[in-house]
Amino acid sequence: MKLDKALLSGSNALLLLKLLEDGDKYGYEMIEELARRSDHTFELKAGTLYPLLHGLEEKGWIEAYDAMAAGRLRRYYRLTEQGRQALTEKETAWNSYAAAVWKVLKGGTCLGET
Amino acid sequence: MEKRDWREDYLNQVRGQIHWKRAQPVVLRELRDHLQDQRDAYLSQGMKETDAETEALRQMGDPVTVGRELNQLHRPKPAWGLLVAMTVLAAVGLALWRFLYYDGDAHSWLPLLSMGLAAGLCALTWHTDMNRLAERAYWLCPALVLGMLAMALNQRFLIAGTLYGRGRYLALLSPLAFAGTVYALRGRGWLSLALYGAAFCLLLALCWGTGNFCSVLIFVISACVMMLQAISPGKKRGWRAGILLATVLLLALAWHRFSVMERILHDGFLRQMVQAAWASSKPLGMGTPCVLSGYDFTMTPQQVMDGNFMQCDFFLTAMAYRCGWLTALTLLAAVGGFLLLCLRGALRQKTFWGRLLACAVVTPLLVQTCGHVLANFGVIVSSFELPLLSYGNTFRMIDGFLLGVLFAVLRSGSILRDVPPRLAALK
Repeated sequence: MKLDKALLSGSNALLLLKLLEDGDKYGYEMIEELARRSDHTFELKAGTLYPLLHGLEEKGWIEAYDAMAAGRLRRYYRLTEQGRQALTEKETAWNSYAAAVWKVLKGGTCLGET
Repeated sequence: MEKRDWREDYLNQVRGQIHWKRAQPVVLRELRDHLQDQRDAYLSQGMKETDAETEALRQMGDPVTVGRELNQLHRPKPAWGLLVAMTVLAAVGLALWRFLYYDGDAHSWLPLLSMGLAAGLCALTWHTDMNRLAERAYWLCPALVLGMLAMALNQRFLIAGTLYGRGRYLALLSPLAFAGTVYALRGRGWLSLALYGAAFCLLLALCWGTGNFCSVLIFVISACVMMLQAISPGKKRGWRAGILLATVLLLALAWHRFSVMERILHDGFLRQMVQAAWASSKPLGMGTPCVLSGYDFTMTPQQVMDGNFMQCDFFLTAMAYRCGWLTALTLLAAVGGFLLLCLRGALRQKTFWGRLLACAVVTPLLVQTCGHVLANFGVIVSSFELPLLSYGNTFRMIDGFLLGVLFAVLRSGSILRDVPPRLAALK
């Protein structure tokens, strides 16, 4: 299922930070992992990914380093402590937002509420 | 005819949108690798080569949009605030020399020339590509060692068998040489440590050979800070403690060695003179006349203040006596503020190379200032000029060069990249 781009654009940073929470990754690996985890719902273009990654690096949320992998030099990204905090905040904000949307869709009652 | 790289047209369109040429290879390398990965993945799924390449390019998105977005992120970040502060301080230093000491002698053009050369060196270094320097970092230490040995073999530079004169200024560059060694030889475990130790001993011996306690102080403290940087954060606490302990012991040994030498060389005269000058100074304006006792010659601090030596190593004392201690402390606060801004820029560096380079500039300048203050309050005798303000041609050019390195690091911003250890050493 393809999603409306506007829905996805605001949460790209959250998704990338979440991917890096499990370990350091390079750009292509992130796109593949994101597609796999979302059953190909989120298929990020490389042209969107790299400006986003460089922006997160600029903010100090992630940091990059070069390392050899499978005989090739690759640029890996890892989550910084600052990025970990940002991820927690973004996750909390997203959960509140999702719960609110769900509540509205269900006519004012959240799942599990009586 | 060699086949044209299938990625080049796309990458050239991205390149066309990125205005900062130095950022282009850094950014395009990542996109080039991504295209290769994507094509390989399609090939492994059984796609034909041309189809795989076309699909990989399509997946990248519009090159103009991608280039524009990357262009927004990768621009030079000149530290204009720091540059203005440095220019103002240097101009104040020159103006103080002109109004307080200028007597129309034959060498009056020298400060202007050295200021011009310092500005030129600063501008030249500012525009140097620090990523390229990283690939040749291992040359920094041998270059400095050869320079200092050349000076040591030349009688013109020797004072009492030491490089106390102009040679001591090269000690300001020793942290940069050590930074190059630490960076180029990292990642080899015990071999790295052994090579760091060898470079440290060599540079320490040369700084020790200047006969100036401040030179040793500058190198040892800077090397300590860099070694602490080289150890992974949060790990190897024992190593950190060991480095700090070794630094303290080494400085204690140097203090003992040089305090004996200072007593022989100066017999406490400078210390007495400094104390007398501060005691005679007023909050503002010229201090009251006083005569040093216990010597077989008569010399008032006022006479001593006019000497070139006082305008350099004892600038703060001379200012306190000539213009008032409030003026001297204000000038010191201005230099301190400038160095704190430099430190803030250094602490923001994200790459190891950036942090090492910033350390190799800011630490010596901070220690140079502390050494000047300690000497000017009579704690030590061997001093260094106060950065940017003191009179002195050689130190001014070296400080100009060092600040140029810092500006280049700050300007590079996001495009400063660490070369993997093995490549750094092999290139």
